[in-house]
Amino acid sequence: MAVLTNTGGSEAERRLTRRFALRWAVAGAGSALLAGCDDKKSKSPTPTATVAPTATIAAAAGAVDFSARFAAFAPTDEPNGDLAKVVWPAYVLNAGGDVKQLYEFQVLNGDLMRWMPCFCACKGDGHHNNRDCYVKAVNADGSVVFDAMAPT
Amino acid sequence: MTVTRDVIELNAQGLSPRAIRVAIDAKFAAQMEDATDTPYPPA
Repeated sequence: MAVLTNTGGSEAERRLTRRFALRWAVAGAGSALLAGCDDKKSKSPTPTATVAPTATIAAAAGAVDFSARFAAFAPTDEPNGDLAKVVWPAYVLNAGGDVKQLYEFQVLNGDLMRWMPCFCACKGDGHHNNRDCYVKAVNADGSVVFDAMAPT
Repeated sequence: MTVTRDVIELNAQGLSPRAIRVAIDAKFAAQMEDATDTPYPPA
């Protein structure tokens, strides 16, 4: 911040100097104020978030570790099925939406879904993982016996 | 079915099975009492 010092000169010159300094200070303050109001949001479009909500939630939760809670349990065998051998039940075909795609993923990813839980309280029905709500069994030839619980 | 959708999405992002499981459990933490007895994948 400029400090005015009385360096001499005429009274008119000193008034001019003070007036200039005052205008400069006001102009500077005004610019700063406008810059603060320069909401970048109003100038550039808000970027669209591309982070998956689940991942974001996990990060926000500090990645709470529930692994110890489930350490005593063993994974079940969940062999992958063969989509070419699948005969789709009516409740899958009639469900619409992405239900068939979800079932397809479950058929092809038993090795992954065997590690994922289900939270629909199906434990009482003897289910051991999320896949059990979709797939009851995979036969040796790759054909699949489905469970109807998932869409309900 | 929400779990399956989330797993599909996270798997497509390249997360490891364990990281996916951590994310799923974090999202459904409030329902943990209803969770199946499913172990965590190896680290």
